[in-house]
Amino acid sequence: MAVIRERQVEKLARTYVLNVYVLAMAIHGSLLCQELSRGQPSDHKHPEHALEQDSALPISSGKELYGLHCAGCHGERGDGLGIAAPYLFPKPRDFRAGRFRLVSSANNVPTRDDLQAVLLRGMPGSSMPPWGQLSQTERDALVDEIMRFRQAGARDTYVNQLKEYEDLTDEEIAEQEVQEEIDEYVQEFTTPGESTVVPKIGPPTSESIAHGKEVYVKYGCISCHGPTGRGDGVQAMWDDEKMPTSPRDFALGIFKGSPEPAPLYRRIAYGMPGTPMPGSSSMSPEQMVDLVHYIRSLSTEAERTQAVLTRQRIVSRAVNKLADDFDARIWSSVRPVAVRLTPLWWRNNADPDLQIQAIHDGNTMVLRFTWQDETLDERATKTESFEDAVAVELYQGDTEPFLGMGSLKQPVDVWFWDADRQTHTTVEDQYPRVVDDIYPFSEERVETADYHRPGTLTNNQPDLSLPALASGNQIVPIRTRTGGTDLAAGGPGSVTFHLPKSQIVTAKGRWRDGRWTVVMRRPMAVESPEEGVSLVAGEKVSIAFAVWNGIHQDRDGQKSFSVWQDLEIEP
Amino acid sequence: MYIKQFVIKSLLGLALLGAVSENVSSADWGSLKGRFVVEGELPQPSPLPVSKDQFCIDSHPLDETIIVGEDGGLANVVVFIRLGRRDKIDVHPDYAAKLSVPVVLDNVACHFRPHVTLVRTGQPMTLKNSDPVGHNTNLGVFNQIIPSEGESQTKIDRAAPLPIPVSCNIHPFMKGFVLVQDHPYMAASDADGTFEIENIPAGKRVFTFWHEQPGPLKDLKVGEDTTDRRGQAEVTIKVGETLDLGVITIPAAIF
Ligand code: HEC
Ligand code: HEC
Repeated sequence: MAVIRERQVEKLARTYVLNVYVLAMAIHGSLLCQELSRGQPSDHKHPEHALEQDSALPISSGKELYGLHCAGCHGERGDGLGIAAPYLFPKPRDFRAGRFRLVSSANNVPTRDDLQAVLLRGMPGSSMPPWGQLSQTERDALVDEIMRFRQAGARDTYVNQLKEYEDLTDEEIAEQEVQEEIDEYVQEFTTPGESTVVPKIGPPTSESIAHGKEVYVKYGCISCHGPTGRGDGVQAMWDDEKMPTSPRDFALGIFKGSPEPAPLYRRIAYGMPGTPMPGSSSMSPEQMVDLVHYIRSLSTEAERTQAVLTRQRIVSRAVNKLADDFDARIWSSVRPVAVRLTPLWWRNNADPDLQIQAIHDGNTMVLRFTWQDETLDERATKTESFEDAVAVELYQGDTEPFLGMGSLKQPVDVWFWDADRQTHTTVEDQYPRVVDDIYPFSEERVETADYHRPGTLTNNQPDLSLPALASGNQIVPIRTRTGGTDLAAGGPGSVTFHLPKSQIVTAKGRWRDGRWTVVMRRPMAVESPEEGVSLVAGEKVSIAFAVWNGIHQDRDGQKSFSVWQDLEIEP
Repeated sequence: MYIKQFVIKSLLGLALLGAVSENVSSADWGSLKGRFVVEGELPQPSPLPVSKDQFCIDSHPLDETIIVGEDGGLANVVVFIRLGRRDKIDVHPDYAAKLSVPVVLDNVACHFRPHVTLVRTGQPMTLKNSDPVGHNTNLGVFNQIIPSEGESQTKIDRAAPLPIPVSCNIHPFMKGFVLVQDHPYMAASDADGTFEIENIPAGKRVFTFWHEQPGPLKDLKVGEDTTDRRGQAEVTIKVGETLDLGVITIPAAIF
């Protein structure tokens, strides 16, 4: 008896916490829904129209581009505190504070080319995506925007110091003479210094690599990166923001900056400001060149290339007869596309090798995914367990929204499969003889209630864990037969379930020999925009992917994701 | 060894535009000295938790945050003239000549030596490593790898209002400080708590008193004056004299 009571109390407590959390989610979610339904009813029928509206204000200024693509992570003010930042590790750069990692000048200030290079390549080893799909002009505008943030940051630093150490008042600071002094300071700390001339670097030879290894040992790279270069050198380390970091494992082929010889040479010369990675100004050019050869010899060109997130073309093959069996013959004739994913919360070797295949018969789209996952995690009902899952994010339109779950103006359509929902375990299965949930808002069934209102029992939904359900909490299983779930999202943290009648995705998964195979299918046409993006043969939509690995406690925002890809639907 | 010069601008630093002047004809000089003594009981420095590098383990490095001599003398109290951004100060010819002499910041037995390094803007600085193991010297504004028995040259050309912490990421227990000023009038107290700054241009001068544990030392009785919240107090330097502040008492309770 006592045991049961304790469990009940524990469960009640947990439910309470869940409800509070859920409430917040639900409010966010219903705001989104209101926005979606109130704002642009006509847009729903004509997704292209919604697009026109957006592009009516041409997104040309750096400020707008920044707000659209970057602010979600880097923050509206460029201070690194975007809405998604709590989910990210390493943390997004605080542009105001500087401390840019990838610099090619002696005073730690990046050149425009340095920043352009980051935007083109992203930063493998972190969630910073590449932005190759933007034009050079757009990226230039973004570079201006970053510099503006940094200038504002430097200005504030100096003004604060004038106040703190020189007792200047706001009026005194406003004086022209002082303003000029501030400008001078800002100029000095935002203008790149001189850059070393990189000698010509020839192809590696076995001598140069061997000599590079000697330099590696002699100069003490070994103290951090370890005797074999696998990052096994030392204890815990922290960066200047007091976040944990670790010396790179060179065998992974992951380089935040370009691994090409010349930029790598400069990185070794100048180190990575803001991290423990030191510069090596006392090395001779010959030693540096050999070191470059040695570091590069620890990974292959293929590994280095693969580490970069890229945009791929996924072609949905038009077929006469659909098949959605895991091993249907048709799959052997459709080329799988490998899409690189990166964990939002970085850990080495966590990028699932997601392979995607797509077919359609003009009426239904079938997607098949496979990826490696050593452990089967299909129970999420217990608070301490987490499940494996995969999601597809779809968007139709020219200007793709924020990668992390779209934006309020540009919501995305999400197809979700999770191992737990497939097995239909419930809280009661996991914890027999406990009360399942509490409903603090209403005990009565309300015939016409809005599905998204928390705490109201309606006839068109299952009466289980109601508030959690209402907000689209993923750990609460809906007893749908489909195994798949349709979600809508209008920005990070705003994921909501489609109405039951708009749940049109079916999905199933199989785990065998350390590999998941998941097949999803959905009618291509949608009856209303509530059902998601309409898929038309001969057209193209933007598609992105996310994978959750239960063994690493992935859930919600903690996952691995891809950048936007193209899904081309064969006519 | 191949040595390349590189210049560091202190990102932390306030652009103390206070200038030094080589025009010495009008100035007459005096000196300042004193001794810091801790009143009250302080724990003895404890050994640091060192798990990396046998050499460092065998060196038994000590926690140097608070070093107190037998009769209470407190080491590493930093005393320096505070120069406002518009202030000017004359530099004695002896100091002018020393501007080109490098200041050495060494790594010895897994300690920074000295524990507090005093350097003038533009003065060459030699980062050294006398240990058989590799170190890196990280001031935040710059971070250099210093191989065993190697060295690296640098120069800082912006002053900072207070000492900047210096660390070694390979050996996180290592800790030191660097004070960068536009003028030479600075000192750190020695093992028995005494300090002396010579050849200061005579007149009323504001000095900062600082120690790494509390930071700026406030409410210190210094000659006629008492330090404010920034650890600053005014002292009058007289021509041809050495002003002896005598024993400056620091209560153990502030640590
Ligand atoms: C998904 C989150 C995310 C988005 C979106 C994002 N960034 Fe980043 N960005 C990061 C993270 C995380 C880092 C830090 C990576 C590290 O230090 O390893 C970073 C670092 C950077 C840096 C620092 C480079 C350096 O040398 O240190 C720049 C510049 C940058 N991002 C620009 C942008 C711009 C411009 C955009 C929009 C077009 C953008 N980022 C969008 C996450 C993001
Ligand atoms: C004090 C520890 C430390 C020492 C010594 C050190 N590194 Fe690093 N190194 C790091 C850390 C930490 C990182 C990862 C920084 C990050 O990603 O934020 C890193 C990253 C790197 C990278 C990856 C660059 C990129 O583009 O991502 C290279 C290459 C590298 N180090 C080379 C060297 C070489 C060569 C030496 C010796 C001259 C050396 N390191 C010495 C700590 C160290």
